[in-house]
Amino acid sequence: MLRQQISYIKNIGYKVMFVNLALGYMSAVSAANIFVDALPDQPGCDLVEAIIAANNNAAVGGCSAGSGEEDTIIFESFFDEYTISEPFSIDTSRGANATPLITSKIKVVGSSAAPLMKLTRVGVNSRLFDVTSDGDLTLENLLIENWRQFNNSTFQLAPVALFESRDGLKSTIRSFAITKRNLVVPFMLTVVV
Amino acid sequence: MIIRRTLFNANLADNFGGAIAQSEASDVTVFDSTFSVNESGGSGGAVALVGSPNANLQIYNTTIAQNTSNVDGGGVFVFFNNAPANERNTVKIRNTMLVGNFAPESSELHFTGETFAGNISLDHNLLGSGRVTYGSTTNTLKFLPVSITNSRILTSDFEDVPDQSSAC
Repeated sequence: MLRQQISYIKNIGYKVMFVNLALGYMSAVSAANIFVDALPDQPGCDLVEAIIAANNNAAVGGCSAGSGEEDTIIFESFFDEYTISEPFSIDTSRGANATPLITSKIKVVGSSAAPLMKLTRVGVNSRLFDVTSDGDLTLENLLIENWRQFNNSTFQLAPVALFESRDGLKSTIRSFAITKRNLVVPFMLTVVV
Repeated sequence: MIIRRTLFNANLADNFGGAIAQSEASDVTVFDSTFSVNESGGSGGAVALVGSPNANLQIYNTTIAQNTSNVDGGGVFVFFNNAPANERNTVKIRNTMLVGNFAPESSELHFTGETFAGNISLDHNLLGSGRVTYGSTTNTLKFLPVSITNSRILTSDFEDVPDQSSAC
């Protein structure tokens, strides 16, 4: 009888341990919320660090780690406006980007008291988001204003752009759209006309 | 990419897409948003789809107004390439206002290479005076592969004229 009770308790113990391990595993791989509470270069978690944390699934600066799933970057509600003045990177092909390349699945959500939280630029012309073929970006509740991309790269694509993973544009992009602008086409663009 | 409840205002690009550019196989879906006063030195004052194949653009319940392209597609520009049938780009625009945009060619919406379109569906929209054109043909309705149903066509002074979808 005693042996049966011990066996029963052991069995329950194993089940509890299994459930705990399973829950731990689930929490490790489930999507993470990363809260932006600081402007760039200020103590805390800023947007640039939040994107790096989400891309690399690691804690960066004041930001918590992202996960292997879609991570949500949320601006703290005290931000009505979030201004970026310095580009994160400058590339002769892709141009200046205010934030790191999006290489994972990320959602960026404005969460202010105002209807939409403003993401805006001052200073150097730059693109706000640049999404590679490995990345996926969702934007919600944002006012994206005054982002500029010109005169600092070969391909001056939009303030929110989806590039391929390597630099440049695919050969399928029509060349005449570029030649209309009398720009130099540096390499392999298929004429589609 | 998904964009929901977002306003793109006063952005600028020198090549494609004053606000958004798709330059590779990708899906972009826009819900409940506004694109205003954006400008492109090239094609697509607000949105440009220039990648192919397997690029899909969907826009729902959105206002695209007062954007400018210095080339074509003041509101939206879409490029179709000669890809295998199951890989061709697709476009769906529904319950959307495309009005008051500007471009030397196709002030609202411009398709290039449309004979290679996988599917184009424009339903229940308000389209401005420049509406949709093919290639270099301006202000001519030739929607061979295009489905346009119940879309109101507006004149340049925003006076309603009879629905021209039957011309398709």
